[in-house]
Amino acid sequence: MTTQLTKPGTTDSNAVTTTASKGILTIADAAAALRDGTITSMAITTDIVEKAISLNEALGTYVTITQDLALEQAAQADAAFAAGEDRGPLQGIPLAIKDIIAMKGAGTTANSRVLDPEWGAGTDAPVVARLRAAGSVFVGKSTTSEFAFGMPDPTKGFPVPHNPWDVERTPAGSSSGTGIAVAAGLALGGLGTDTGGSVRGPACVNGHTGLKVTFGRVPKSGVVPLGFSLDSVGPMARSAYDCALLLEVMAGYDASDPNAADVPVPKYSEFLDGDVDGIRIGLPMPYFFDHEALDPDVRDAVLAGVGKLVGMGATAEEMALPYAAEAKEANHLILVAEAYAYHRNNLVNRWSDYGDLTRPNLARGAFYTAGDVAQANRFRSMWAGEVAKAFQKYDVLITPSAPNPAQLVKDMDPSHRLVQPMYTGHWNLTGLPAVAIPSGFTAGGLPLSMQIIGKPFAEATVLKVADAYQRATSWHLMVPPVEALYDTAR
Amino acid sequence: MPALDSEAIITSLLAAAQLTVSEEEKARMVKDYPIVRGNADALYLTELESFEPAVKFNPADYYTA
Repeated sequence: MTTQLTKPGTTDSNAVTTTASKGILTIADAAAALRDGTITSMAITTDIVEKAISLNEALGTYVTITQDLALEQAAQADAAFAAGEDRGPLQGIPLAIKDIIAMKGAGTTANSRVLDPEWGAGTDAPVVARLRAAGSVFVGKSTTSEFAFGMPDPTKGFPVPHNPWDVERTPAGSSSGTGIAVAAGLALGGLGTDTGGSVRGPACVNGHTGLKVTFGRVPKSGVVPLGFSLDSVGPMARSAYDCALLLEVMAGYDASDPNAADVPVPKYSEFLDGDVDGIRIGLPMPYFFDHEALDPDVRDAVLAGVGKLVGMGATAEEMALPYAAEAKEANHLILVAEAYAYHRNNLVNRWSDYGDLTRPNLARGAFYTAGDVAQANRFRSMWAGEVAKAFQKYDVLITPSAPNPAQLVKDMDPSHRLVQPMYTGHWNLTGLPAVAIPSGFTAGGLPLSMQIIGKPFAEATVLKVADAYQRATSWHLMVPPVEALYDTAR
Repeated sequence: MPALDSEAIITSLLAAAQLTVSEEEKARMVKDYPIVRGNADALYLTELESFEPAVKFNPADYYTA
């Protein structure tokens, strides 16, 4: 598989004419090049680290760039290749690690002045240990919304992330840094976490692929919690195929996480054959496609994407999922309640140490009653049953990933999030896998995205459908205009 | 349903939670509270009044074989 990167501005996604440039490659391409000797991990890593350093002020991608560690790991990977040792497709691949995940060789901040600087010191979270053992290269700890929940507060001294397609727009959160890194070629992939959409949101607005895994699929010990019953660690990369390569290493039981599922890990990439013949797609129209706040460009791009899959042999049917609006609220309520329980003592004692857009959102946990939390969990049981009924008839559901393209930061109102529709938290509430993939661009050049949801532990199915779509399109290979930022930075 | 006195409610809830916030932050909380309360109230569906299983708990989860 040889990737040809292109830039937006054409409406024909198949008109890929520009050859790979600026060192941005997919993981699959890089893995092939490393094995045929046309490139070294040191060359890829050096290029990426230099760009990451140059662009960090403009894009706010990394809290910490672990240059020395990355170059050491790259040298080890190249030495291993030279010695005929091959630990799989992630050997020598530069990755970004979200800064709420423990990683030996760098501290963890959660982008907060509140987290104990010694939290996780000197240890790898199990998911990071697996990537390290697979020979990956760690470029650094990538920027997160504070505790995976807030919005940037420039007064706290952490990098403020910017969307590489338009630095005046949000890169979304909370896995902002990994999202920016993948889009701008400042890592070939990486880790995000997702409690209500924090992998899929950045993938959506930064124009690449992000997979929220089944709850328990990837161990989340060694990760600063947000919502205990909702959190997941997921792969972020340019393509669904790359996400499959990452997940093959990341997934699997670990006794240190009481929620980790002891379920066999398939070789996901072997399922990605481009064949969607007979795949049954459900399109939940109410709320997900007909909400008055849904941007028509988003809806049209998703429906065009579904049309392409139908043209490849899938079937699609409009259907309804009752209580979708309430499901968004239940996810939010449970998330806030669980986060408040984790942060309560620090909120009381260190209120002003939290960012100014983090602390009021966390405090909302004090505004719900105990009955509200119990009721949200009763609702969760019913909603999970409704979704399970739908999956008796369909292999996947497809929705927009978000109602709008990336918003201008100056126009964002935290209160608006209480009333606007969201399309991601529904699947945290049910614990299901869901992948966000690019589905087009606005006339103004902003990425659009669609979401493919599957049954529990059916990551292979959602990635298979996503990969089939990406074999027929090139939206996921579009690169943002960071050259101008790079030149300015120099 | 009587109108919410959001100012009084937020004042009490913040006091009970021992949270000391700025006036600006409190003003936003007061403004948002009717939406927050309404979103939570929306989950008290009549269909859920006798729904089972409501919330599951398995004591055996805490014992090794």
